[in-house]
Amino acid sequence: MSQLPKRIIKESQRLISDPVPGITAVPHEDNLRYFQVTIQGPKESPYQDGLFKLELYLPDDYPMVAPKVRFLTKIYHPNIDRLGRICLDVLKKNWSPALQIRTILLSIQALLSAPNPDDPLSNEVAEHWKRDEQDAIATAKEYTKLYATEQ
Amino acid sequence: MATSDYYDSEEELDLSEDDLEFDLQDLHITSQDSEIEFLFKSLTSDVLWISIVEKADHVAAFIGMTRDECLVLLQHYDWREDKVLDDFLSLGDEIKVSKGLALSSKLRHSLPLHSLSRICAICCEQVDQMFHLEQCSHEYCVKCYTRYLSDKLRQQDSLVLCMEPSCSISVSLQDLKALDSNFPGKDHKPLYDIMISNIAKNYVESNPKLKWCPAPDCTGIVQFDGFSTYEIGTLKEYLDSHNLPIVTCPYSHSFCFACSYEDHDPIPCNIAKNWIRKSKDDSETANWIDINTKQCPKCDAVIEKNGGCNHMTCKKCAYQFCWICLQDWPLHGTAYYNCSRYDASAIKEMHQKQQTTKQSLKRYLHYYKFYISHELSAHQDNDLFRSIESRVQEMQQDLGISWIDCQFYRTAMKLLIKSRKVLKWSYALLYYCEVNNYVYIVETNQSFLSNSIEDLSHLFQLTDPKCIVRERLQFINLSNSMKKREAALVEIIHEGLKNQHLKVT
Ligand SMILES: [Zn+2]
Ligand SMILES: [Zn+2]
Ligand SMILES: [Zn+2]
Ligand SMILES: [Zn+2]
Ligand SMILES: [Zn+2]
Ligand SMILES: [Zn+2]
Repeated sequence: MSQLPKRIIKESQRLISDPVPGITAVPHEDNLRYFQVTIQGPKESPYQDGLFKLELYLPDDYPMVAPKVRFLTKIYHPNIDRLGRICLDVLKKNWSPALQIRTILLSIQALLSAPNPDDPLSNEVAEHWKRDEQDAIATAKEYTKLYATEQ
Repeated sequence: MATSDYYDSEEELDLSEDDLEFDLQDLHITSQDSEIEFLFKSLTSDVLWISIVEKADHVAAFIGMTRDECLVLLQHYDWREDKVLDDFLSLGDEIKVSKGLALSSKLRHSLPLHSLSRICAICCEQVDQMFHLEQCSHEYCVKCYTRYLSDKLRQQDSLVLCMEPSCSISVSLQDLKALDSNFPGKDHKPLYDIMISNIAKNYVESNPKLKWCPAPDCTGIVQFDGFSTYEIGTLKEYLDSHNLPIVTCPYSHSFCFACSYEDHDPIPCNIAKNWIRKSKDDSETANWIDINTKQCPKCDAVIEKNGGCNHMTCKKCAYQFCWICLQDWPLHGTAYYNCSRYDASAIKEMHQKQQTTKQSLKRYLHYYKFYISHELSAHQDNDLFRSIESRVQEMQQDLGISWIDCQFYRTAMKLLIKSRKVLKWSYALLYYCEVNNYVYIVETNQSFLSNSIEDLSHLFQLTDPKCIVRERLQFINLSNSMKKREAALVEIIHEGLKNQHLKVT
């Protein structure tokens, strides 16, 4: 493996020494561009008390291109599809090289607090959200209990 | 008719079929000069850029901003000068803040001071040279900024913002010039140049009167300038009355302004489009024709085709045959033989029975074979055309012939390419037409044109400059008669479509 860019080393160090509340991100020992991530479900959201696992990968062109992030834990959310892919503007057209892993993870945490069914990735979930928000939230809570909490 | 060198529309056509309903005299072929012309200008990208800059300068003079600023503003308003002026009147200099040309005074005061540490926040490296846009002071290293911008510009963006995500300042041409001079790229195009072509793309795409030439890598533009008469107002009306807006870019590529496909005169856009899609989809039939080699029908020797001529002579047994139908070549010179006519009995059969898939495939293959043969010949003609200049030079140097006296050779080649294109598309059209007697008339004219094309094409097999010059008159005569036959075929098809003698299914 080629030498790790200084930028990635710095970001990794800071993620460990100065972690974001409710978020952990640990580089994999075999591949320092691959991070195992956990995000705690925000309070007052249907994901409260859940612990969600994600994977994050920094492509060769990082930071010119955005990191690749995906939920590993099943989640019921209008902007996240069955494969865990996330619809978030800063991961796509609004990516800027000045953004960082921590800013991206914070944006994902915020997305859990504020689902946006008008810009959906998973159409069925978004429809459900628009048709009957209370019922959709109940389903999201069920998923959280079922998949995101240690029994 | 067989000996006649050319075909005139006034001349009566002697067709042997008894049941011919149509006579050419009934056709009332409209003469060329009553046609409504589609007026256009062809522009190089340099000329286009001059008019873009003029537009920006015009706005600049009104609102007291720079050309660079106006180039950004105009893009935000789809190049509508009036809209820019409107907003300027109501917003004043605030327009600069809202369109990324300046920071609000509040933000200006909270800008970071120039860092002394010289550590770039993107790559985290200690660097010598930092860079920031003129309008803000978000500093990153020259290398990171250049990479960021070349990525954005390669995606054809023409409005690119500062690399700092919270900053809405647009990158200006001036910024790019500064960056280019900071980081002179020997192996890559200056960012400034890429930005100019991106802005031009934005301009052309926002203006329905402008189209890029569709030829690969061509940077020519065509500007639509109305019609020769006020009877017709819109492109749609023009198309509806069976006209085609065929235009030519400054580099002599001709294309259809309506569908941005190559010149497909005399057939309508939708038929050309369907045909192209069909011939691309049918992968089995795409491979169906053996492209560059065939076996001699007499001795089975493998013969490779070179040049566009379809008159083949076997190198082994000297048998002369037609590349397309593999029949005796001498047959082709007579009026009775028509290698492109679809077998009459097959047509009747088709009339009687329901068209089975097999038949329709057979029918398709019939026309496809002619279409693709002429398409391939056209490529070969084009290759030949590219080598023509060296032949012309030989003629000039070795034989002391003037440039103007060599023109006949170039002209004949251009006419050949054009005629082949017309013939090629006419086959595609017939595939979609109901078989009737008018189709016979078209086929007869196709075969006249085809014979002329093959004769001229054969003449182009001459490579010795002396021989070429000796055959000068023959080149001129053959291309003139070919041109007439081409015009006749085009008119018959136009007429047939207009009066619905040709029924497109
Ligand atoms: Zn900035
Ligand atoms: Zn840098
Ligand atoms: Zn062109
Ligand atoms: Zn067209
Ligand atoms: Zn032979
Ligand atoms: Zn033939």
